[in-house]
Amino acid sequence: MIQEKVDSGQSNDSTFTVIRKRTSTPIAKLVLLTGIAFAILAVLVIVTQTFILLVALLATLSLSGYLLVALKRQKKLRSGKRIQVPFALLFGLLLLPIAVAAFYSFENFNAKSIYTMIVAFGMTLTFMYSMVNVPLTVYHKRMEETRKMIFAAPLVTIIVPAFNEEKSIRKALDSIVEADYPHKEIIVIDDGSTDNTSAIAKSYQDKMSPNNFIVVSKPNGGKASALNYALRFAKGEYIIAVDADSIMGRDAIKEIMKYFQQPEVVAVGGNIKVKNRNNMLTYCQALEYLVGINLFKRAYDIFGVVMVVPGPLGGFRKKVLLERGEYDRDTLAEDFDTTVKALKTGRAVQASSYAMSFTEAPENVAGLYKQRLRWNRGNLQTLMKHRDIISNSRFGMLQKYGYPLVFLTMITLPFLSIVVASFIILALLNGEWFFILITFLIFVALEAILAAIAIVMDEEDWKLVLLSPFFVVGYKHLIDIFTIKSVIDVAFRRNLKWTSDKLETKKNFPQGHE
Amino acid sequence: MDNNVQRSSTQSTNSSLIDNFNRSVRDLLVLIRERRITRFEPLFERGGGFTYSSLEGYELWEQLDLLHRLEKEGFLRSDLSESILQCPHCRSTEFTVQLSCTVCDSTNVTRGAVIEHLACGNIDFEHKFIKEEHEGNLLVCGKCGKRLKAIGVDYSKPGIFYKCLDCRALLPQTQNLCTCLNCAKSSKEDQLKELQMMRYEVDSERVSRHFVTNNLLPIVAEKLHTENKIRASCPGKIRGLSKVEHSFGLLISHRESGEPILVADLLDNGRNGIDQPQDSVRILAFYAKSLDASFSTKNIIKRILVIQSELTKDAIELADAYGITVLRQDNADSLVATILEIIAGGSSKNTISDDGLPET
Repeated sequence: MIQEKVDSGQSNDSTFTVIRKRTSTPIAKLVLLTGIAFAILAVLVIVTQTFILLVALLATLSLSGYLLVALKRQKKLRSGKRIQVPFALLFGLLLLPIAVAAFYSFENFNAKSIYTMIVAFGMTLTFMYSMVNVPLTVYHKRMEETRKMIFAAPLVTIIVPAFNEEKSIRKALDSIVEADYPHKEIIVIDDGSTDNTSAIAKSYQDKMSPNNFIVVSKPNGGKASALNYALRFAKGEYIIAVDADSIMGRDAIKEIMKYFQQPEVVAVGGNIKVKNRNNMLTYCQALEYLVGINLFKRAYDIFGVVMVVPGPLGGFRKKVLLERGEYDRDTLAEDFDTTVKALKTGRAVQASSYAMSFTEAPENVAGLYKQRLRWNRGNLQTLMKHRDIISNSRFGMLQKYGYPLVFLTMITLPFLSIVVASFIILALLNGEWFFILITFLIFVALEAILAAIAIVMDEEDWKLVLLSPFFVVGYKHLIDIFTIKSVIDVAFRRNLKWTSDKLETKKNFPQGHE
Repeated sequence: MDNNVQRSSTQSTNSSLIDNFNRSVRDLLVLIRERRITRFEPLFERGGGFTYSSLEGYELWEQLDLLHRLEKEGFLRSDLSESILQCPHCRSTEFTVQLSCTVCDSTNVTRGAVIEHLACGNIDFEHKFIKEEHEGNLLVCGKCGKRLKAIGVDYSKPGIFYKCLDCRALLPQTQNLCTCLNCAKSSKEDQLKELQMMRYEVDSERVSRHFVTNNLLPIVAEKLHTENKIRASCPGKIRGLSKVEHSFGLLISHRESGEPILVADLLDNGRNGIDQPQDSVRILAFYAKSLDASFSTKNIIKRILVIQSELTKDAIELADAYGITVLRQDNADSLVATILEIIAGGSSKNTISDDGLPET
């Protein structure tokens, strides 16, 4: 590892040593894994002899290659602007599988070709979605490792909205106090708790200067209301919102502040990890978070259009929050909504994989169902609320990349996944065992490679690779069904209230916090 | 001869100390009455440690002895207030404390906050995990090389630990080696003496009664002497057959020959103090010394015990058997009248008064 000191420049309240780091990260390992992933797809093309997969593979490689070259050129020219990809190219690539599938079915139309075509189409779209991101994330990892250390430590306000969190808030506050950042202010908003949350929070006032640790109690009004209330007290120029049932990583504030050195960055999301890994379901969620953040969020990050700054750990410039009307209460996903509002400023929203937060995941299917229902409903409400993005080219990569991809992930892929699953069953009934078995095994291998890439990137537990089959069949479909249920609820405007397994015991307090 | 002189000198010093001590007890009782003190509580004073502030002018050990004596006499009731440690050699409470290894007893011990890396079990001082040359201030495990992510997730801070620089043991606690600032001797913490400092409540009723009864016999002696021309002394001393000099609360002697006629003592019974002898034992003690004293004279000495509260049935029978007249009176005039009657020979046996108490 080589390190190099650089001049601290415009620092005004500098407390950190200025270090720029050049690390020998496992880039070679990641490049090798990426090569294996593409080789597996090549094997899939050869085995199935499906023309559409070949087209998709070539399209994926082309797009990845184009983006990498564009990124490289941008870096050489030291351009302050973020990369812009022609909309027609992206749109065309998204439509490609559909067009080719349609062509394929008309050319060889028979009963068997219909399900072959649908299965191939679903798989194509899935692996295109995954594989375009893989080379980008490897590139992102390399870029991230050379990110400059912060050289100034401006005051950061950490807001902890809490509602009946007496069991978890102690750990959360311990981690915030422990966080390695010299100039921080902590505001705990007790949102009408009926337990000892406030008393526990007040006991931390001795550990910090009274001016830097504030506990405020207010009547229950929900998380958005608590966050807005805290903004009235915040003295910091930067706001980091954390959940009271999450544990903040020791380097989280520092890592988030690295991004805020760039004036165009208005918000930074953290890397959320599952803390309670104690059964198959929580392990699956751990892998889901890991792959989601390391393979997809990194790609969004390259374009500066990270779509969700997560509730358990997210930083914002206070000025942007205030200018954009703070946190709104009209959706169930105030984190997604606030992020999209920040993105609409035309400036960058990024994510740090080193800024970690450890959260409690639901431990049973019922709990997971309620959590995902709330997330999905909130996300769909937000997508609907900000649908003007689609028709407005002023939003740049948000319009061309971020928003369509979220739309694809949230609506198209879950429906397609269920349709493909149905046709796979049909194919099995028709005796297409070999095709389905080979395809299944190849996809399991592909998922395992993707998991391995994410594990290498985040120095995670290798045991998680063993769960890859559940991301082809099982867990994936469970999540897709939850998403479809949410889409139906929003489409038919059913009663969209806050749903959480934790809140079942809080019936008198409908405004929950998660 | 030298030994005898020395013994005599020691006895004289001891006697002087006891006299001083008794004087202090009396002074303290006067202090309690005059200042209306209701309790004695140990208070921490900067520079002096714990002390009973009402007893200023005395060393701590003197304060404790005095208060303990008053408690034994029934003037005070106590319960525990503080426990402090004393040097086992000189009773000082001032020490310099050194950390000492529980494994090898070395005092070459350092301490600091430790981190436990939950993944590999490595426990070491926090500064051993800090890698300042790597991104400012990261925590990296020295054993497995992994970066520590979040407290409560992959590492914990169990608190302050101690490391012996001689035997390299990492200890959750050490033994304290206490060196006395007074005598410079070192003791381990468990070798120090525990000193229990009590909170004392004054039994005000008992104190008042003490002053009434203590003044009774001197007044009676004065009255007998001035009003009735009887030779009375308070206290009166008689050297007995055993050559031991006995002291009585009141001694009435023959005016001309000086032979003792009557001896009286105050039986301060009915106290709540600890270690108080039983009434019957004290009656026997009084009888024994009056008997010893009676061998030094040809006269029959009359014996009177003035009591403060009701005697037990056994004690009454005992007094009756030994010819002791028991009087329960707190009025000097009536006591003088009764004594005169006894001297005149009007009554020499015990009777029970109208209120059920012994009377003359």
